[in-house]
Amino acid sequence: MTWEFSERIAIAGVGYSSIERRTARALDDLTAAAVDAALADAGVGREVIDGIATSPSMPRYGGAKGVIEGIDVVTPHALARTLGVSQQTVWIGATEAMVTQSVMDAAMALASGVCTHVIVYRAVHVPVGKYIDFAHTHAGGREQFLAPYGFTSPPAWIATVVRRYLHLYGYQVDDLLPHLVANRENAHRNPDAYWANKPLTLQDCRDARMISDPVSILDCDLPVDGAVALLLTTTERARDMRQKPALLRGFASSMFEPAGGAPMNWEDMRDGAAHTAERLWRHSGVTAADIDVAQLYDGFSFLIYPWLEGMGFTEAGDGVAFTRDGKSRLDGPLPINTGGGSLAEGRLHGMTQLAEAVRQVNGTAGERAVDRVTHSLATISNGLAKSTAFVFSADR
Amino acid sequence: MTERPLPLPDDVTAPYWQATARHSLQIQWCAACVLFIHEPQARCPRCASSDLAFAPVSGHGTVYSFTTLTDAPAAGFAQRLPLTIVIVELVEQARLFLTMNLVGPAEKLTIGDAVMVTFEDVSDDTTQSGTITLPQCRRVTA
Repeated sequence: MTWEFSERIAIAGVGYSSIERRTARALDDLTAAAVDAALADAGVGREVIDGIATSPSMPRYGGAKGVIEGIDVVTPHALARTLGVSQQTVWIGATEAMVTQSVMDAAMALASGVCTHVIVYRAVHVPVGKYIDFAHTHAGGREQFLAPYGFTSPPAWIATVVRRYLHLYGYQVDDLLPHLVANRENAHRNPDAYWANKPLTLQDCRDARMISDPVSILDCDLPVDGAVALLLTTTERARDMRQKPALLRGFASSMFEPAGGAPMNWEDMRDGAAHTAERLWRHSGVTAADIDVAQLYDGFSFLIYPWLEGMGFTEAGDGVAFTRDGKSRLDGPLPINTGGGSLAEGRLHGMTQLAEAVRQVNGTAGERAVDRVTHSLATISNGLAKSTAFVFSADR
Repeated sequence: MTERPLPLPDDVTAPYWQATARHSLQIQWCAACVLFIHEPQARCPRCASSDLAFAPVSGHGTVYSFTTLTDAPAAGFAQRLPLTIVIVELVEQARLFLTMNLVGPAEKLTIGDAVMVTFEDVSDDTTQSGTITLPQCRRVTA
């Protein structure tokens, strides 16, 4: 059953702060800059804001993070004060899920009429010291079965998924590398990409430092300091604004629980993506065949493959061949990660996929715009429970 | 010397660690569903029953997947590099996964290789006995 409010809510503006590493600039400063950029993109000012939503949670691996307001976290009430919009704000959404949940929450708040213009933002901060470092003497909860074995880092988890896939389908690590090179070429056309000006060759990929065999440093998105903001409103209001509206066609959340004993595994991620796709197609009234361009989450480079195969864009085991053989390039049958993805922009936890999916339908993708896009897909996380997916459509 | 992180057993997981202390591998079991459950849960993921027990398994499994670390994931692993982490699929049930480190050389380790669980007693002054026992795995040669 297609969502009753399909295409009646839109993204009217996209804004990025400068994306930096270990910057002296305070995070709330960067966040205000991203919000003002999104508002300017839409041709409006702070006076329209009456809703704010975000996920203020920071990754929990190794040490306390996200506890110093304005420095390593920006919570929505504090942002309202920073922007001077507290008095006019009537709705705040805060989720412990990823910020993509905030987009859904904002859409529903707007559809219900409780507010008129919502800023959805994500503010991220590079912590002091090693990003991942299990520093405790004892591990409780799920980690009691992982930490004693050194299995506490997501790169190690994804490495076991990659290893399994390569074995199942007879690929070599080298088959994964052309995608990294093509992806960096997309980054060169993306002014918001951290790596926009850094070339990448196949040899660079082969020489890259291993983090957890077979996952190298180039397979991981870079932790960054920065913020991204989206302005959401009704389609009707968005049509009077500066950019073409990016219509929210539909969205879906995954409830797919994996087998226990290991944090991630290939089969469940792929099946989780399939489960998410089924919900997404039903909610949005489109299918895989209707998707013209896809932003598939790539916090780790390999994460695009559960989505690519699970959603039915390729047959089982053909995903790596698809990217290896150039079919995901801007001029290919299904352009993927047209701005270089999270690998190019840095770790923005889903905002990259949302922002680029929007830009591909509202005419602001510049030199990397794909021709004649009607439906634009964004998928976030690994297909397992708490993953999310969105379809945006071009306004006719 | 800094030690590896140690498990902190709780009410749900205590029987698992009590068994490993006796060098016995016991996995949570739902009799109603005829289902092994790992990691141990408060309720069966299939039928939501809380009437769960622990049953011994053989310790035999195959390599489902693995990875090797050359940087220490925590200070206590600095003397154990390169560290091979193996996800073992136990023979008793499809997709019953147990994560352990490989004891012994990792050359030519391949998905599907047969492995056997071994037990490593580690000193832990937060436990009554002063130790906690970690299941590990070693390759089974034909």
